[in-house]
Amino acid sequence: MSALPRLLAALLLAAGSLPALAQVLLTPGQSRQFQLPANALSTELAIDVPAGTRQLHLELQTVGNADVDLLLRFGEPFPLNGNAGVFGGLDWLIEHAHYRSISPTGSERITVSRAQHEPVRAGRWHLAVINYAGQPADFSVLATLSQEDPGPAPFTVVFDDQAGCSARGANTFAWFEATAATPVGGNPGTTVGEQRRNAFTRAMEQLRTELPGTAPVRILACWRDLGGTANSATLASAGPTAVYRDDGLNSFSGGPAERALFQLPSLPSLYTWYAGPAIAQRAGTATCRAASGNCNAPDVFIQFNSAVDGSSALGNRRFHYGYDVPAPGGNLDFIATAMHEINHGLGFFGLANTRAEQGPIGEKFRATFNGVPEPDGHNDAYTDELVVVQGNTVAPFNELPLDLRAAALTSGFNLRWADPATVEAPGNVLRPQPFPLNLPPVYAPPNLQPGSTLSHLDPNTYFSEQMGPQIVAGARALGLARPMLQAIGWNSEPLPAPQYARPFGGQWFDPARGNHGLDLIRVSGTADTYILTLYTFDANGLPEWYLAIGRIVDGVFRPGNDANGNSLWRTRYLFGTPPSQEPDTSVPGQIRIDFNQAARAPACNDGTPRTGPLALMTFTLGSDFNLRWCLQAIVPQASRPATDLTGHWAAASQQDGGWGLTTLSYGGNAGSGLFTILYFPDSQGRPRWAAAQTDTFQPGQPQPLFQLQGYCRTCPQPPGGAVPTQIGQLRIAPAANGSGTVEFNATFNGAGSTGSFSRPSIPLTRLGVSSPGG
Amino acid sequence: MNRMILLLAGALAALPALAAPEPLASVVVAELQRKAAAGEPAKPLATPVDADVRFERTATVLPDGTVMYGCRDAGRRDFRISGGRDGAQVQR
Repeated sequence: MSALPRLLAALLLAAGSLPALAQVLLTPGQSRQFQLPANALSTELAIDVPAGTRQLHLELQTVGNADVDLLLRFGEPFPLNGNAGVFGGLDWLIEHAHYRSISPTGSERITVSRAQHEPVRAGRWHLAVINYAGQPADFSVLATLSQEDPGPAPFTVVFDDQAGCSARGANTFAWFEATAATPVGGNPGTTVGEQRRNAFTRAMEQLRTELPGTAPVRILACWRDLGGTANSATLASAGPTAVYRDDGLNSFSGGPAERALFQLPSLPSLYTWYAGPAIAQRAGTATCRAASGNCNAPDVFIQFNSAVDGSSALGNRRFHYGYDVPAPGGNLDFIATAMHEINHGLGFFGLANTRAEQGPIGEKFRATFNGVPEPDGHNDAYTDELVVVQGNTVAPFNELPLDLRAAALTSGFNLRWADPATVEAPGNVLRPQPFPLNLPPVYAPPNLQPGSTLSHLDPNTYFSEQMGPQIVAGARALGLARPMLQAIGWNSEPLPAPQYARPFGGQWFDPARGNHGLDLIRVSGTADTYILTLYTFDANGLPEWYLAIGRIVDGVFRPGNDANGNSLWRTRYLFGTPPSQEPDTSVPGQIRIDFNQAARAPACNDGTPRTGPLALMTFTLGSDFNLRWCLQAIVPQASRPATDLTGHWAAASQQDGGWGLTTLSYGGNAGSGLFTILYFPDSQGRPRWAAAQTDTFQPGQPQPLFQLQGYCRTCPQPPGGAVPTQIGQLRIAPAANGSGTVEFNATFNGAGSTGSFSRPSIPLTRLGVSSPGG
Repeated sequence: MNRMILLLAGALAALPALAAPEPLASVVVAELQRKAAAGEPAKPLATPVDADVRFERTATVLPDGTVMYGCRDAGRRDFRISGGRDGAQVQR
């Protein structure tokens, strides 16, 4: 495969054909005007953040209505070069952002505090600006720094959106009722409508003061006749308008529409549901900017029962709009009611199913796409904090099988909140107890109470918590709900800079897709550039292989596109003197391997046993769109022998490209096992592979070379796996110093291929090494 | 009227000159140009999941006249992915 040296050379020389852009440093507090051509991007802007900074705030505002987006990244600049000296693609560029403001408008904002996933810290922060418009865009950029941590989260309430309320079956009339009223309990309003608005604003302000945050939360507040009887009524209902999760870039464009979500690189947990207001805090911008939505849409919807202030519900009792407590005369505490419901809208709820008619109890939440439920349930941030306690046994709720999750939901006191800050909070009356009895129980009564079960604190332990399911007096303080919310997206404590995985090189495979595999080897002399060879089978089960070259950035192998728009590609071997290769664009390909939190990915929870660090590979090849394979190392690093011959080898002669080998050392019987794959062309120049394996490797020993009759990438794995047939012989003598020799002959069998491909004993050179870089 | 115009002109003259936008070094994205020409959505679109999960605060008057507040869901736990990555159904 000495195509690789040439490809690498092209990669390394690519800067010459697509030069890195110069750097324009922004001055804090000083707005500057810039212009971008139509359909263009720039990575030129940056700002140097000094030590001691606690918030970095960026604002981009276009002149006119061009859609211009803002990306932000700490440390190294955004890349431009994909493969072969061309721009690597928009998805690829965006994937390098630590923060994104990508609304459909030209008004973008990002705030980074010390409490976010990539915390603000001293160093250079790089901006990328993308103009999606078909005409040049003028815009201003303002960067400001603050030595203060964020204050109260900027909630806003919308009282007058009649259309928004109406779309949800509600209205705004009660907010503006002109009936005269006497100021009550510190509420100075002189009309009923004004008092209602004042009381709601008061509730919101009280929550804000307990919840620091950087990003706006927009609350749509309405009224509706929800009915009631003389003794019972619904006072209000509320919830978030959207939930989000970060699946990484889990699909490549071009395939059929599917359940693709999007990346939210600022979320702490992948593959996990969060409420909209919480993701805004993590993203440092409004949900509409973090996830390209409508900035006039609400994040939280709340409606109050207008029947309560009439005579049809709860007799003569009315909402009490005073700021004082308790509500006099048996009236209903409006402010406490509003606070409790808004808390649910901010994310205080679990999504495990508690309603029998909606599926198995305890089932993880599945969204529907085009009316079809997703195949996989996902954890949510709330239930991720729960454990199930039985005696001294403590098990994470989301790691239990369905039947045990269901049992936990009706277990009384076994379902508990494990976040340490909540356990240590002064409001936790169980704090003096020994572990695990000190963990706060959430509501899990013997009889399921949908909506009450799971999403509240246990009322028998906590009598007056705002987030209890039943309470006699309305509570006006967040209490334990404050640390609980902080654990599920509302964190305000400083975080350390994240550490990303960088794997050892070697061969990886998905045990659910045995016989297919890949080797991923760091290119010698580079810190984090890797060569990937995917060895797989075509639709007829015949071996074929593909290549990718790219960096592992933030724990993700994500090669950029080449000139043909592919990040995973194959070459056609051209027999001649000397032989050469050309791109084979008949099978378009894209690939991405995420080494972060792969164990949480649905593909890694399909019931197939896997061990060791996992990685999620998402790839597209031809009509096989967006396959997701959960990889593990074939031979873990700890199982490699002292003399590790693992590597990627090619002919030393630059004139002899188009074929190559990968080797993988393993313990074997005598600590000297070696697995070898030979990559070579068939007589039509198509990329094929064959394998050899010995437990007692001796350099230069003859080994039989086998072709495998396998199964296609979307076919079920056959019992017994692929069928081997000997097609030649191999003698390889790799040396730990990166030199070696090889001799082989291989006669590919199938697809009209005739003749053999062979080499006499020739020198080898190692292109890639197995250590993780540095 | 002339005096008004003169005053206005004077006021405009007193304004600081607006800085001309600085051209940024940039890369024109062929992918965007191609999508624009084909009438395809330009952006790699995000897909929020609409949620219609609602919690209800309830009030029940106990026999002794006190009010017990409760909370339950509204029987709706309906989440829909409202669009796809390729943009055809995404609501903006």
